Amino acid sequence: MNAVAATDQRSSDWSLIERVVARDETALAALYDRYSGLLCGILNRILRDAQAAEEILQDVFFQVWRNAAQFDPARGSIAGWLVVAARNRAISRLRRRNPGETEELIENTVVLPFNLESEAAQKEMLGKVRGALQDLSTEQREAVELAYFEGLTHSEIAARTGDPLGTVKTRLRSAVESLKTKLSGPGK
Amino acid sequence: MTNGHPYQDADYDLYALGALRGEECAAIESHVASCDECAQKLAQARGRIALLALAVEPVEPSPGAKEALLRQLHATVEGHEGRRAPEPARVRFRAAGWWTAIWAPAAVAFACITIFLVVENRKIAQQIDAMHADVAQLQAQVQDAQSNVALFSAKDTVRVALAPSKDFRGANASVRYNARLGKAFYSDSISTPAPPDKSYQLWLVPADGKPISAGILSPSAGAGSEMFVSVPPGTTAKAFAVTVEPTGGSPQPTGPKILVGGM
Repeated sequence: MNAVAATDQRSSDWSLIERVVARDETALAALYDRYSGLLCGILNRILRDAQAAEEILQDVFFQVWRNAAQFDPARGSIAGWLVVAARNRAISRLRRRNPGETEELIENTVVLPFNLESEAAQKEMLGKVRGALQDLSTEQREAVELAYFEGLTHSEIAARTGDPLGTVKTRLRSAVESLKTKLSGPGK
Repeated sequence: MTNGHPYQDADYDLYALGALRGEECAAIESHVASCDECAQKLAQARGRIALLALAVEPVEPSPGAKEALLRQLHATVEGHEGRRAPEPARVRFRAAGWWTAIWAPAAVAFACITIFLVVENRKIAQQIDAMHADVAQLQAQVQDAQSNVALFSAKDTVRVALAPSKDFRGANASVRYNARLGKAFYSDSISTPAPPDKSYQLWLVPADGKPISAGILSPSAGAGSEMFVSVPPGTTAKAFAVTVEPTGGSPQPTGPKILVGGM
């Protein structure tokens, strides 16, 4: 790893974004190196198609390149935006929605309760998230995964599982409340 | 769900999860659009739900994916620069046009001049060759004239009178001959043209060997014939004669002699 790459590795997401705004391709490459594994994991999980996953991965980072100047540190985290954008695009493709519906996501604010800028932080959170999900009941975890990885609504989950809609709603609500407790950041 | 905030954190989590129906989403979006506090709650809910991505094992994309992205960036950068800084391109175009405007006519002119010079050079070369030929011809004529003059002035030039045959009685003819110079001058007073299909041919009869043709006479009405004749220098002449030969002459005498003169 050369000195520039090492520096990029230590740079914050926002300092990299500032360089991307200045059309520094190495900065975008550094962001890519930092988050492409995470995003590719979720994209593969949703799409089950490596080629489609990489297409969306490229699309998401290219949107960062095009719209870097629109990012505002006061409005959330880059990592959060990347995850939300990648997931929404994948769900749109999976459910054959109009991809244009996800274009305005750049305006969405995503506040991550944890900093994921280092690989170590990501690994630490991986354990925490998996632990939180394991703490859910099987039905809750299934409902959460159907919603998160397949983009199903309450009704669709009910139709898929055969459970009453009210049950699914209660199950999901209790699941997200549990996750909030486990995944809230320090002091929350 | 109180104090003007109709939604709980779980509602925003469910919204971020994508579990709500369209009208439920629209209601939440309408509220957060006018409520900064709830907009912040929604932003935090998005962050919490986003963390679920970490439940999945990371997957390194293929190297080709990054290369494709960087190629896409390069294409954009080049296109961007091309749009943002078109002036240099136009300047270059103008510069090229300016240079072309000078260079192209100059090249054409140069080519035309070159072709013109080549053609002219050939013409001049041909003219020079012709002049050389003329000079050579003139030199030959001068030499011939000088030799003619020398023929008449040389002490070793001899005059031979030719006697006519009975059919040309009254005609006068003579030859001044210089064997050293190989020159002779013939003159006669014959005004009668040669018969049709015939020519009068002059012969030098050497001391040794066969007669040598010295030329075809061209008598003009009332004036006779005159001509300078060149023969191989050093040829000792025994006699001169004029015969009637087929038109254009013969290699050797075949017809009757009309004039004969011995040395």
